[in-house]
Amino acid sequence: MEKLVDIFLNFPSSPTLSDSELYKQATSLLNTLNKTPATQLASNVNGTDLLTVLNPAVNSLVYLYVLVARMDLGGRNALDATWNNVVLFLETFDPRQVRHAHDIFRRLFEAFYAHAVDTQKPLLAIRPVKKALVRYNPTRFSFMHTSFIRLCLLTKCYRDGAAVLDIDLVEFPYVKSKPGEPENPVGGRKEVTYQDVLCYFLYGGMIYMGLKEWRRAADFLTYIVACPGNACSAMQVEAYKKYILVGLLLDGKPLPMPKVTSAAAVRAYKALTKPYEAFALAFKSGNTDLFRQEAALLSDVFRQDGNTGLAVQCMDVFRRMQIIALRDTYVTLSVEEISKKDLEVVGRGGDVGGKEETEGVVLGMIERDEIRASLSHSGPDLKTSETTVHFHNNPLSELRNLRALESQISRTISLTKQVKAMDRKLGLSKEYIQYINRLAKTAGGSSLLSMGAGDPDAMDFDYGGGTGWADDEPEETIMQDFDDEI
Amino acid sequence: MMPSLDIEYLASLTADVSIPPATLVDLLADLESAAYSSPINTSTTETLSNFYSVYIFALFLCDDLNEARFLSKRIPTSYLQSDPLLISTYTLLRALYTRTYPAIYTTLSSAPWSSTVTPLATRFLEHFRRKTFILLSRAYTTISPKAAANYLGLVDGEEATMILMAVAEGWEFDETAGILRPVLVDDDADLEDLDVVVDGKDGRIARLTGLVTHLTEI
Repeated sequence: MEKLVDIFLNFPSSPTLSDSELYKQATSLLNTLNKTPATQLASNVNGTDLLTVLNPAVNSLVYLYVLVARMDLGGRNALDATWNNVVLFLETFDPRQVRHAHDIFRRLFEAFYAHAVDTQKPLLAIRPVKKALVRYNPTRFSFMHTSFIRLCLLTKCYRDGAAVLDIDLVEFPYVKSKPGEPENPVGGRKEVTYQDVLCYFLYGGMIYMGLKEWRRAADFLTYIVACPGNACSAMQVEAYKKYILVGLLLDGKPLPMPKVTSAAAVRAYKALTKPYEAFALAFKSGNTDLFRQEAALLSDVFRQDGNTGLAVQCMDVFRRMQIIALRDTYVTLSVEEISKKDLEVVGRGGDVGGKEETEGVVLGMIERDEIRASLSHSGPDLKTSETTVHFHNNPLSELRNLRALESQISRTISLTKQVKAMDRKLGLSKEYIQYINRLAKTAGGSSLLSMGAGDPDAMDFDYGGGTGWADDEPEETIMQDFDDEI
Repeated sequence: MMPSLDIEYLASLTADVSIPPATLVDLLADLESAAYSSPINTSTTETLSNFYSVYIFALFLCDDLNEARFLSKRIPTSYLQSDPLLISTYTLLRALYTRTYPAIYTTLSSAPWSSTVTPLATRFLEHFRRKTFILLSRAYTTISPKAAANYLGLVDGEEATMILMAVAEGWEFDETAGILRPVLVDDDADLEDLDVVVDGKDGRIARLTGLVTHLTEI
């Protein structure tokens, strides 16, 4: 056993090994580890605890095996006892080593996650999981993503959730890979399933809704709404309901159905979301009475669907959208007249809808750059003074526009680079070459230009698949993106 | 190793004004699980209420009211409603969320903040007043001194001080009409990138050439 401990402590032989050397050493170590019985790994060596001898940041791989061995032998109680060790491991492990034992890592993670949820203390898992996720590889979708976002929703840790969601995913794991590669699952279990991906985007969208980042929320929901398939899942229908409401909050009108939505999904949406369509129509009509009636009529539907919060915010936004619409008719207007138009729908009572409250609403809109306008008081005495709103047409400040433009450009550049890398990767994949060969046999080799249809598992729906990606993006979306970042 | 959750550590964090708010939030977030798992009793209640209050103030300084609201939902309700320090913090949160300007200033200046929280309360008061001042300059072409004093939390008696202060910032005071004319404070300065300031036009040219190179590659 002492000999084993020496082997354990000697890996890695130096912290600056190249990837291939590390791979060699890790393979031989894994051979030893897999042969060592769990009882031996979990036991104490000469009275000293292996976990105290090892450093989770340096000897990550062995540390992981010891933790899992204890968990296998002792179950939940062992997990309780080693909880702090697991937290320390998740916060400090070396991702280069752990990638070689992906499945063992996943087992530890899932047990940790389940334990945190079952013991009613999900909050304790938030920070460790967040750090582990960012450490591992945040731009590649993994089994941790969906679990983490679910945890964030459970515990209302929206800020932590958004920090991970803000990192754009550029890669999804797919099952067919060369044997021996670390991401290849043992026993044919897929790393992520269709549901995981849908859940991730639905939960992610909900986090952004909580933070009122409507643009991002709409983006996330688009991924679900437009998810390919021959049938439509219940999650997609739920997402579409939220998609309608988020569209109202973002633009004052429902967002268009994404072009790539499958026909089956479109049919399901049309049949199952009628009340929402009616609500959106009433919102768009701009008729306060009609909208009020519709909102009252549908409050039960919203409550059943758990969308009351969004619907109430829609009612709130209705007034703001109507004030913005006044800009088309008037150059100046007194606040009193705006409040007389009776645009308040939420019905909270009190001073809501009054002169001062309306002035506050307009001030808030100016602060959030929802409208270009200025207010002016006519006299020093608040009681007799009239407040007037002047609507402006001049754009936002030059510097803000420039900055928004620059961030868009840099985002586009990084996206193009990723698309190119992905394109190359797919073009070199075995499936794609087989596909091209098959086409060449049947059609005589004229199809070299058609790209991207080779691998349905790659799920790169972000780019619409292959060469046509630039054309698929409607111009509006780009513009909205731009408005939002100002 | 992670710092432990105690009053001294919290006080050292709040006293250091050089820590940017976002970093402060991050440091405090690391302690949340410790706070969450510690039982609430007479020996821990002081540390806990200070911790949560400081945490919420740090989020205020980041202008992240949403997260502050979510944090208040993560605190056990009975505790949130019984601890005097947390009640004040929560009152302030509600006032900020509903934009009730007078309540914001009264709570900030008269609530019984502990010595750990006071530095942050002072820091936030300045931050908020400055932010509101810039907003008023942007939103109003004329404003009555009373309304401005209301927005800036300078109540009766201090109106003259307020006018002086506003004039010092570049606003004009029309004595015959008795009204203030805000002049747009250049809040673009806040937006100016550090790198733009550092390498000036050269940085922009570098970025432009980078873009052109990129375009030729496609």
